[in-house]
Amino acid sequence: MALLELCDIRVEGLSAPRLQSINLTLHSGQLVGVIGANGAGKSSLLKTIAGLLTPATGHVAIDQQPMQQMSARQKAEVMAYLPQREQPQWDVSVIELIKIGLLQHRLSRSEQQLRIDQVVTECDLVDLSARALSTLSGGEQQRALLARALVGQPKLLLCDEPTSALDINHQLHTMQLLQQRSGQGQLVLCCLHDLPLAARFCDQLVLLNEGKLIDVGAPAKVLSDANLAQVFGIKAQWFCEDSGVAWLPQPL
Amino acid sequence: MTRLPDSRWLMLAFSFILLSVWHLSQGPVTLQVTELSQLQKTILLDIRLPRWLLVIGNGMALGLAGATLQLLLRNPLAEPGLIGVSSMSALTTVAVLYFGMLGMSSFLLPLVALAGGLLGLLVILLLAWRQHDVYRVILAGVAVSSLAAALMGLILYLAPNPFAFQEWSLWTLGTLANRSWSHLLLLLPCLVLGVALLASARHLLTALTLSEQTVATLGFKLVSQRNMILLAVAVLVAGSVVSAGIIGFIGLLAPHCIRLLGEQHPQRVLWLSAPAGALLLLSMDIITRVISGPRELPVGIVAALVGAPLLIALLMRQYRQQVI
Repeated sequence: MALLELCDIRVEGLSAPRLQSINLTLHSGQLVGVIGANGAGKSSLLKTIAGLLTPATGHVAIDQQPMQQMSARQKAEVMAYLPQREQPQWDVSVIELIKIGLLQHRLSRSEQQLRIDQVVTECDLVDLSARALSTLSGGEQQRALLARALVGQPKLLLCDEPTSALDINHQLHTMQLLQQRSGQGQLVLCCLHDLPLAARFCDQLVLLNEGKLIDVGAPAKVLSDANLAQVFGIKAQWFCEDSGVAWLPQPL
Repeated sequence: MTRLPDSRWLMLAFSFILLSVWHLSQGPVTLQVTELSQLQKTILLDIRLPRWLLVIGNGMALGLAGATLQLLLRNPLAEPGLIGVSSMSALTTVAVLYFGMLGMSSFLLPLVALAGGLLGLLVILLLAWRQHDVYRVILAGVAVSSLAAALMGLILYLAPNPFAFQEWSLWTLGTLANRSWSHLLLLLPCLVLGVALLASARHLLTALTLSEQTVATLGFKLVSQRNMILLAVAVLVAGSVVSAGIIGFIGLLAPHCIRLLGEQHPQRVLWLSAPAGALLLLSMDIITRVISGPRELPVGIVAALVGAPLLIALLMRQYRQQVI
């Protein structure tokens, strides 16, 4: 059964539509990468699903239930959203930041603690949990923010460029973590700029260009020569092995 | 997480007790604690105790209102005057007096001030209606505040005589002189209601550590809860204005003092700003009475004169610590 359905979504922008004619159906247990050039509509797609942008036409349904019919709390229990750039205003500790993700969840204290402990371990934050955010590096802060999104154990996780501030080790760690979450039955939808990373970890890719859906499917299908040429204006040689994916992109 | 160390708690509690004793014993008549005459009892119970309680209550209300606005607007420079409630309270009071609708001693005057404050809030809510963007609230607040200040200036300029000018201007300067239990009774319900509203929406203030966009996905009814919090601030500020006039700087300074003492979590900053505000206003009132001649200075003037350099000193100390 499909977890997420987008039917004929159109989101207006200032001069041109941010998204138009988006029809997309995604299932649980997948890590889905949203790719495209700058301004393609990747963030707008995630914001529309998160309910932050209101579509002019069409509707979004989660678990067969239209989003408009869901209460704010219901939405928060079903999905979590990690924006592209998040700058916490107050210098709270890592644990206090993570707890924000559970403020509207109806959980016992012991259950809350269990989830926090789990996510702290998963995100490699054990040694940093008591530290104030101002004492962390950008990458460590990004991991803390990801932990905040993960702690609610949402069915649908929306991450806007979750690896953007991370070093290569933590990029891999984060993608493995998201892959692990999708393996546990969650649908993880994340915008990515790093195409080899997307090709290596994602089960499916959604390719956008100028607000339109160009292609959806397995990475090998979506990252075709024709798509790369049309969307990014490049051609690429791919080197695929079990241990990873590399590429050699060149302008057309 | 940096918790407020116990020694600092004790120091603050000790300072509060010391300043309270000083505040209660201050005045032309010396009180013998061991043996109070009837006159001394009357002075203590009818003059000094209500004033002390009014100082504590006003300090708590302003501290809470300041911290709430800083957390809600995600802006460390926010303070109660920003949303124009205090200006509107003072404006409606002075306007009613100017047009001769009520006399200076009318018991309806505080209600007029309260209604004015709530009217200011209503205008802000209408201007920022259903918007998630806090900048609309700030801009609407600045507009309302500026308009109220301008209209008040006009009314004061057109005051029929210097005596009226002096009486009316006290609403804008803030004073704790000549206050009684009745003033405290005006403040108390506002304080209780404000705290109750804040307690019911406190989680949103914690969540606003993150951007409004993220908070909108965390399950909060953002607009209605934000409006409830603004109502709490309006009630707290209006209660303060009706009982003592506009007292600036306490609302701005109290949360900063708590942060500079090492507390950063929104909930602790919020609730600790109440005693911090009380302690600050207690100090300001003592200074006011020490430096005043036969005619007492408005505490609002002293709060600004002492508060501004104190804020700069605290911020410079914080800056030095960051550099080191």
